Amino acid sequence: MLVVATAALLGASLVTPVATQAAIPSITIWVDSPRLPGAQLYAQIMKGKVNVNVQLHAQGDLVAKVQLFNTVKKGWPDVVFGPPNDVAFLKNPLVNNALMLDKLQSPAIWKAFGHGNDWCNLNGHYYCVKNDLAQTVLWYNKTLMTQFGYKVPTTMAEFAAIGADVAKNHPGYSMGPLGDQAAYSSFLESSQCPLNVAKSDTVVVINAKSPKCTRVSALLQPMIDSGVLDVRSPFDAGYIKDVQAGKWLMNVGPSWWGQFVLRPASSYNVPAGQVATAPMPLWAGETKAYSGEYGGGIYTISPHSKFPKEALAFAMFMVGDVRNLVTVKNPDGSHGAPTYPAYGPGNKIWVQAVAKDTYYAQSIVPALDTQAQLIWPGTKPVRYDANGAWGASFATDLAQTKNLQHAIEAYATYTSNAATQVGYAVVSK
Amino acid sequence: MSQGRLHKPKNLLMIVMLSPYLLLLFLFGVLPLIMAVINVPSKSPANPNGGWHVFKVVLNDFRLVPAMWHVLGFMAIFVPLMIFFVVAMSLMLDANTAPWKKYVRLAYIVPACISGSVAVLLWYVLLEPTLSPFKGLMHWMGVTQAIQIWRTSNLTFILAFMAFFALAGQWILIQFGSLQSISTEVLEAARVDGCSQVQLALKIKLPLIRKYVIYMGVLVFAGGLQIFVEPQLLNSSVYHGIANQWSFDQLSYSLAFDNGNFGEASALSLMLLVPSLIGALIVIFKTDMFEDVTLKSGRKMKKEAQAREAAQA
Amino acid sequence: MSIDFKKKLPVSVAKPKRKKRKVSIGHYAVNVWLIFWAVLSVIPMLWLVLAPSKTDREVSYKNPLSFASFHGYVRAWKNLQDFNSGVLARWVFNSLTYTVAIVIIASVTASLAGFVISASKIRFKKGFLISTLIMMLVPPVALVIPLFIEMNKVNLIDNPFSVILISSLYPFGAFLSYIYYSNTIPPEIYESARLDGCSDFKLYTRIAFPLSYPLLALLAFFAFVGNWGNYFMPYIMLQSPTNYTLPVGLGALFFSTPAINPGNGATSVPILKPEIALAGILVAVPVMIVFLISQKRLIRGMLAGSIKE
Repeated sequence: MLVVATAALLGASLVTPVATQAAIPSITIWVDSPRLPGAQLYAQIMKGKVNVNVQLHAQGDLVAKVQLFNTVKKGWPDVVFGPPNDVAFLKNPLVNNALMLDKLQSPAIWKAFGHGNDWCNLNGHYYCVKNDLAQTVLWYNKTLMTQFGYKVPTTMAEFAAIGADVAKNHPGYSMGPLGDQAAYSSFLESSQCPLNVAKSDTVVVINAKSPKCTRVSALLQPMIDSGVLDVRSPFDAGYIKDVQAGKWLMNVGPSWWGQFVLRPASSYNVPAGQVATAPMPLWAGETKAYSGEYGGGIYTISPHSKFPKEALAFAMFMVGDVRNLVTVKNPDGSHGAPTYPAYGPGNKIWVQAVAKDTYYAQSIVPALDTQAQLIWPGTKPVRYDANGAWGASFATDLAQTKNLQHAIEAYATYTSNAATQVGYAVVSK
Repeated sequence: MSQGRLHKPKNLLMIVMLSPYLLLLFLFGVLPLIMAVINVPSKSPANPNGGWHVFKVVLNDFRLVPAMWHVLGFMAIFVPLMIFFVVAMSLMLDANTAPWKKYVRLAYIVPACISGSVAVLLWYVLLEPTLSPFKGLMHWMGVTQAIQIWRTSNLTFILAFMAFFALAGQWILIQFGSLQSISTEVLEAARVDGCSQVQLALKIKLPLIRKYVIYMGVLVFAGGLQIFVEPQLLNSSVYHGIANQWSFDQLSYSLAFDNGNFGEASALSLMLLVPSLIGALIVIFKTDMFEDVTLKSGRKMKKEAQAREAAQA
Repeated sequence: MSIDFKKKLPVSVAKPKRKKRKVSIGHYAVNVWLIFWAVLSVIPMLWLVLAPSKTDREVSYKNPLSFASFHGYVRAWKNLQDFNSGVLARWVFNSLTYTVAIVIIASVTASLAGFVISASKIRFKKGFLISTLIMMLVPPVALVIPLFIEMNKVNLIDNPFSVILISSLYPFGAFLSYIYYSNTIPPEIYESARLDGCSDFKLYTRIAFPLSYPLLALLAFFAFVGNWGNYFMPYIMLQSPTNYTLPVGLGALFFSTPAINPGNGATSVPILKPEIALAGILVAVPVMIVFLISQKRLIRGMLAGSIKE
């Protein structure tokens, strides 16, 4: 039993390369279920060269258990796939579970990310590898747009104008949900509203009264009042039922929106040949049409890992290798990684496969590519649960008051408290 | 009759029989508790120098007072509802026997079979006006959207009802069982005296099971105070963020695991132990549960037995 | 004279025949209410049982209590089996073995402890009872980290025995056992048996143990029900998915697949509401079976015949 127990205590490896000649590096990987096929493929490929132990874990497991591992000083997995905000928590010296990765591979590889790995660049160093980008673009129903005679909006003013027209002439059609993180990633971030702008490890800007936030509320409030923008979460069963009846006109959503939300029969169920993408509408007085980001997982490597190079190699496989991006078989029969890769070369491979997807009315890639370079760099990883706070404060307030500005301020109050609690000073600029 | 003299060879077997339990109690009960207490004044980010004023740090945490309101609100609904409902149902079940009642009792314990994440999925569905088997009732009450139900302010009601639904059936069965142990002579005597069913239930049966009801009350109270799994699961899955550090135990967990602040977490847990202990003391001193067999000396019990025999003569 | 203790055995006394009385409205109302609540109790389980017959889309569209097709169960089962190379079967096996082990250890130790406290002349009875009560009231969250450290010291992290041993501490059972033995066997019996020259060993084997079956059944029942669905401690102690119990594995399934929140994952993993519901049935069925078997014992109660005043 003890042998089994000890063998199960993987994390740091038990065998150093020097010990015996037959010993090979050994890494433990924690991934969630969409990433599992790729990880298992990797384990197979590396058989004999690296001992890869793939374990299925929910995305929040590492954060939940890392304190336990730190207490007993063992058990850390080598590389973990997790939600993007976790890197700040893990990098915190008190937790110390995000390794600085700069020196582990050549600068050329880091450069090949383009802006794709900017999220992981903290204080000038890389602390994680971004798996996918979840940049928002404008998803729209091309068929309906033609039918109603609308032009694809290029500015937010045009977006609002369409909203007003829909309310008058085509009531019942939806231009997007605002619950969960949707409002933030779709509108607030693109407007550069400062709500989680961490200037350093100790200072964060949270200011709901900034003009960059209030202009969003001003523009969108009429659309909320008329029902064209919905206060519910994108995954609310009631909202799904409402839009399933062919009532989805357009919404600003992330790169995975088409595949995960618009397409499935149990979700919005938009028929084939109707969905298209366009770049983000521009806010008045701006020159760049920024995107927000709704997700986009990361790989972090533990400083306690005995084989960080091998751990990083796994992460790079997942983000750059054609075998994971295009060919690996998923449990539902589809092939390849489901999300928009952040790594340049990997991205090129992936988009070629996606461009051939006949579900969409036209290739969705151009808009995705444009916006991939325009993700607003203001939002930064923070040590408090900025994403959970949307559910904790914003969603309830919006549902009750139906007032966007009021809900944003509720969010700001909540996160200010949370930020102060973990040691940030909250400033308004 | 000799009292309390240890006959060493004889008692050895007793000690041996008790020791496995004692070992488990020590290793997994007493020792961790001592370790938790020792941990309280340890160093942490919020309490950099360590020390016992960590209790003050806990009291100043901005999530403590909301958690207190949440839990108190929850308990104010959950505990009375449980006690009243369980007692009423078991008395009603006991009012007369009928063959179909066996199936009714079985039906009551069905909800207790569903726990953890399945319970969360189930309640997500039950309280979703688009998916629920009760959607007719909900629409009639004007509830058409989930956001009308699922908000942090409603959690006290939702969680109270979830916990109630899961636990009531088991306790009904237990109290019904304790009602069965009332001797029929007592019931017959009362009925002969002309008691109605209601009087029988309230004036005879209820006082006789009083101590078991109190016992249930204390356990329900303590369990309620420590509500953790349901809001935690709700919070990290279906309605992300709806119950962030909503209950005391969740706050304690967050302090330990999110902030690495074991000292504060232990301090909070110790603070929670106090009301539970008070409840326990009520059980010990206000009911005669313990009196029956521990505190009475053998002589006293013999006296009572004689008195009983005399009364029956 | 030796008291014939067998006569004091808990026996279900048939309620004497009543004379026919008018059945009142109140009587009907009570019965209707009882049945109503029974139906209410069963509906959620009914939804759970019927959900896998539908596709995820049908779960929203069709009547929640409708049955769609048997093929749904087959499909949902297949999806669950395919998940992570069939780890679900492993979870079921783990849950069964861990829970049975816990039930055995917990019931035996608790029943022995209760007997000793009620029968022996050991002095610290009150201390035992108070400590038992305290242990039942301590928040488990408080003990998690110390327990984790303890288990780590003996290298039992991610080992089933960590869960089994910790969960075998059964203060509620010890308390129950103490009440049972105290109510069933008055001290006079022990006294007279001792006067007759009975050793402690015989006290247990001849007097207590033959009367223990109802107690052991009760202890086993509560231990099973309490531990089968236990989530938190196994989640903390077990790290590898192959060691998970069913509730923990279900939690992992629930969180890491798009059952509720498609943003969390992808449709590349076909674990949706029907599949989760089917897994939920797997968790619920053993408890239902245990309930069915034990419900008679529960009704008899461990306190039968004891309330006399």
